[in-house]
Amino acid sequence: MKKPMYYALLAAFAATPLAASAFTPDDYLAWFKANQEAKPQFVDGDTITFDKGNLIRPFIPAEFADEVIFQGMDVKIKDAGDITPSDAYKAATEKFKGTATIAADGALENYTAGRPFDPATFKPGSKEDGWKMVWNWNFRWQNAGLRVGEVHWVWVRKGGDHTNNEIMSDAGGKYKQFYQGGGSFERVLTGPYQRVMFSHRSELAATNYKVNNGEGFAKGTEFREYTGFTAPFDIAGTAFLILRYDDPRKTDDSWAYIPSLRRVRRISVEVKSDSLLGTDHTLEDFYCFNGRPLEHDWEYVGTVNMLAVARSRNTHTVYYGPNGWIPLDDWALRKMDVIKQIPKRANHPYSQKFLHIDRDSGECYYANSFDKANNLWKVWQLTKAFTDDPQFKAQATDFDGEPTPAGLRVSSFQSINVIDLQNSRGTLVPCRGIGNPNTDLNVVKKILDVNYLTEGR
Amino acid sequence: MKRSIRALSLGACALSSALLVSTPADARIVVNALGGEVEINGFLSSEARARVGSGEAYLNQWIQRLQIEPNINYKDVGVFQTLSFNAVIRPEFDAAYYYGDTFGSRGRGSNKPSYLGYDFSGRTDPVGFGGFDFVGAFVGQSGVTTLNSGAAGAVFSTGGVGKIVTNGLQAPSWIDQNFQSILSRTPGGNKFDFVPGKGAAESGFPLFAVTSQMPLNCSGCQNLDNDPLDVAMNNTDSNSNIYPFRELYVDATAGDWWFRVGKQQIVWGKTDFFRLQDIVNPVDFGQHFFFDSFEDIRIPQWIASIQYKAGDIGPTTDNALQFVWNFDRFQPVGLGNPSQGWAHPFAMQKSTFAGFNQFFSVEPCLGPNYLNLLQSDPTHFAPSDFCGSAGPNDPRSPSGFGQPVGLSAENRPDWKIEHTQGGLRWEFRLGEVHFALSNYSGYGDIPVFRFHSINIPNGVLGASAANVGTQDNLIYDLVCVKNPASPQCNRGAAALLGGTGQIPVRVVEPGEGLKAAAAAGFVPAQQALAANDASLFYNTGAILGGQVDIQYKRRNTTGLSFDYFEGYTGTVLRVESSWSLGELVNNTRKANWVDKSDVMRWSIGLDRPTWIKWLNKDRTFFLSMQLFDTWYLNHEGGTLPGSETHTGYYVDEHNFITTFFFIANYMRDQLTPIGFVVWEEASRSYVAGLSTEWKMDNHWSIKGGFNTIWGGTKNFRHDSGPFRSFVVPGANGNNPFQESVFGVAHEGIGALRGNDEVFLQMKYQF
Repeated sequence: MKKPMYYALLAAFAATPLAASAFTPDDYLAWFKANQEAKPQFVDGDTITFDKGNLIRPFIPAEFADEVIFQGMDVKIKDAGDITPSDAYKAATEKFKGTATIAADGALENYTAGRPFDPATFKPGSKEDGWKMVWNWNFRWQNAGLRVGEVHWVWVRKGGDHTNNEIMSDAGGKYKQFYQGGGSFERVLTGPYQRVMFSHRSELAATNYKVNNGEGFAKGTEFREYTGFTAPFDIAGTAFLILRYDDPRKTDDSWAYIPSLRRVRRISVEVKSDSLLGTDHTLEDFYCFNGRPLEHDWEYVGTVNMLAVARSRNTHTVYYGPNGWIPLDDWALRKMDVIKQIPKRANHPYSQKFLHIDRDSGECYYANSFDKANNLWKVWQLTKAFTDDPQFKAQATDFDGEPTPAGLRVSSFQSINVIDLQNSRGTLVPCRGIGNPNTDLNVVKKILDVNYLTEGR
Repeated sequence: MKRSIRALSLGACALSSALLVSTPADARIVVNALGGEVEINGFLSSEARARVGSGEAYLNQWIQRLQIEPNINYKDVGVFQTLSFNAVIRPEFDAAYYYGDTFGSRGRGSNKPSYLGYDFSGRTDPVGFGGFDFVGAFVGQSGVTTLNSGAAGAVFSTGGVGKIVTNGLQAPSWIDQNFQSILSRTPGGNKFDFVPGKGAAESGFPLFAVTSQMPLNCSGCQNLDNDPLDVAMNNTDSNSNIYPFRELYVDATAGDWWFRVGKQQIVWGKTDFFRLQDIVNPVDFGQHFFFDSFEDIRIPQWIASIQYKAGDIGPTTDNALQFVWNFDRFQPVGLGNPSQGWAHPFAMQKSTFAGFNQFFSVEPCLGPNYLNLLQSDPTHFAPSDFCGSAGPNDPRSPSGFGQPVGLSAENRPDWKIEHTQGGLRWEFRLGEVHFALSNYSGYGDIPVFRFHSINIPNGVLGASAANVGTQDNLIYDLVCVKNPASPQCNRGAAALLGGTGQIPVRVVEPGEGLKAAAAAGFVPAQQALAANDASLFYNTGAILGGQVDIQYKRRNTTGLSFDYFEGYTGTVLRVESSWSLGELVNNTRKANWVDKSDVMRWSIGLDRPTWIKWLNKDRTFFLSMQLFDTWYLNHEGGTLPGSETHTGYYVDEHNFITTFFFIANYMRDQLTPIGFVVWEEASRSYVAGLSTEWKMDNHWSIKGGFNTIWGGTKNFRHDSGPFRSFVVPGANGNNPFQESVFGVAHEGIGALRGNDEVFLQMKYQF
């Protein structure tokens, strides 16, 4: 059977409700192949409602389409415009073009700053280009890194509603506006987050593209990341610190402050396939992929045009839909590079995962994963906000946020929402008080120093 | 004042509970007030623990606990970037303890013994109950083994707690309501039983322990005679410092400086369950052994802590230097009030020896049941011989032997600047290894018993007796002292003891007494001196007890710990060690039982999140294992050849303990089973537990499980020192090596083996 026909048939099957049959990577690829060249039948400014839902199916992966397309849907088509990174990042990209290389084991070498590789040269099916793409993703433009004043981790179950959940009345009801639609909430965690990049900082040309010239606190470090929890009581005060080394072959170091122990405990975060605090994310699913690339094999799949919330019109993610896990926002048609992640460890719960990364901004908007039997398991959908937009600036100091300097042009992380399709549940992770602020080393040392963790409960 | 605080606490508890249950509650309460941000969170829990070990089941504890954690946070106040005022307020109430008689539990009003004991009587503790009456068994006299026989049934008129009843000063129920008999295992491992008129099959040294809150004559002794309501509220001496405020402190940061002053916990070290560097605060093991998190049983103290984050120094990073000054009065480790459900055996023994001082040290007197002597023998007996005749504060008792014996004082250092404690900790990272080096100057918090006097019969000292110590008399029968010609004094047991009703003794400092006995030609004393082993002297039984106090001594403890993550195996390695110089220890080979030893403690721990897919495909199991050792570098003593008996230190030179625990998570971490096993090598005892917590939502959770202790049944005998003469001979001999006083220590964790429990907790957090 000829390939195009094969994929077309598979795409046809893929369009049927998932409940009717198992959805495999081939089914996803069928949609991918069938719609790579699809032309949109909508224009900027259109609002897609349920009766016109099929117009967007070529631009929403098949396995996710039925979550987005529902009675009452309100998908506003809006071009995201120019969301390319800052001039400093582009300058660094240009300056160091062609210098970065991929080692035999996939490690990135001879990389300084900017985007390591030009995705326009990537070939579908290439494993080497898969490595290049994941390093492009790893060193996307983030300024100094993301800071979130308040993260919510919301355990959602399909069906029911969350009208009476305390989050709807908490703090005088200020969260109610963000959680529309259905879905029952089982548990909500709250806490701050910050990641600070210490090396390959495009805007730090004067200090060798490293914080403090790569000396002292920044030595040998790619980033440090702090995740804290303030509620509910049983987890309040718990905090995690992860140190990712600049050497891609080196394992992460991590510490946790455990309130019941009243001390900091060295922990292992190398089982990155473990669930993150019982959410439907694993430790490496945050951001779309937050793990160490060398623990996986990679393959470049190709490009596809997809609808995504690439430049949110809201200050914070607003959810709606029958299960309350779809963002109510502007959706932009974006060209995405797709890579396939294949875990190396036999005990990893996924057989493979596809990441969808914006060609311009370098940010990820969508991913899907398959279990060891190659059945579809989870889908992730991420929303982004653009730091130079007024609505982004408006939320800057809400929820204990810090302002982002103007002109940085970061596609900032607004939310990541995972749906476990096998178990009819999901985890929403909306972030509020977000920013990609410049960082003062003396200030971040205080937050990201292991000893800071003991200033807990 | 204390009553008012208790009443307020109970009222606050009840009111808060009502409010929490009746009104829809948010997650933590956060309001802007007092110029800052006020945050209040906490929980309300009810936990029932049922003892199920050894064939009898009853509700052991039923604890209602309210914990409120208010804090007020400010930013940019003067030089401080952050300033906060914090408190942990925790009133609680053990309903099973307070209404013990209602629930059939132990505790207040109960007339039943604890997991460790039996009904107190002349059968279970003949010496404690009937003094020298047990001697009557050698000549077929029944003696007092029950209280129904009254005065007429007693062999001797005075001596022993039971004589308070037989003299008519208390009803028989007073015994059951206030005492139990503990540590009743014979050297053969059987239960000691003294049969009237026949004696015991095997020798034994059971002890009476106090189960109520009666005043005991022990100066400064903690956790002995608390008010029952205070015990129920865990407002014992260990926890009474501004109860119910567990913690109350100010926190402030200024640049790289962090300050915290107030009642707080300072936690150093990297080891779970054990305290090597983690010695700034004592721990109360009397609440629930080590089953509760240390956060809940560590005793907060008034401490000032200053930490400076120094960043990079040379090749090291993440440097932090912390100075702590514990300016609170020294607090020893908590072993529980003897009546509490999980009181440690040593807490019960403390009540025993305080009871010895209360009941045995006093001069004897006669009670109403002997009033007939005033008429029948006015020549020898006067009203002044009777209890209470010296006024309302008459200290005498029919139980008394008139010589100093038992626990007279707990010498907890007073509050003085020079008695405060403090230390330094330096943390840093060198490469991938995270180190912590500490030094702490503070008091060892384990009580050490010191004999400050022993009672040597004049006959042992011979002619030199007059030059040694002070003269006293051990009175075993006041009637015979008053009238040696009384009919009962020249027959039976009295005749065996000489008929005078008393034994002249010299009360002398132990070391001096040993030398004097040796000089007087007492061969065992000479051998003891030559061998530097006082147990050779004491094990003769020639000494008639002595008086002890509890000592604490300052020691310097240096600690070093590090952790390292090994990436290939995904394992965290934790190593911790501490070195204490000149730590006070008990050594029964010393005349006063006190010695010093350098002590090294070390532990190695391994932690690893591990997939066990067939049990859980979504989450790893957190597995953790530790090996811990306490090494007494100057250890003396040990097992005597060919036996399982000990002299010297009551701990082995090495005491290895291995622990293993796991944490699992199911249902998106809403269902959390936790299990652990502990093995103590020296005592061959084990503890294991399993619990599962279900977090139903952000507020409600239920937890249930069990804890079980077994083993430690062998290897439980130690010499009894000056109390050797208190050992009741058996038909098979008179063995100086008994479970009391220190033999129970050889049972280690196993000493609490009768206290297996199942528990269920409901919790509402806000």
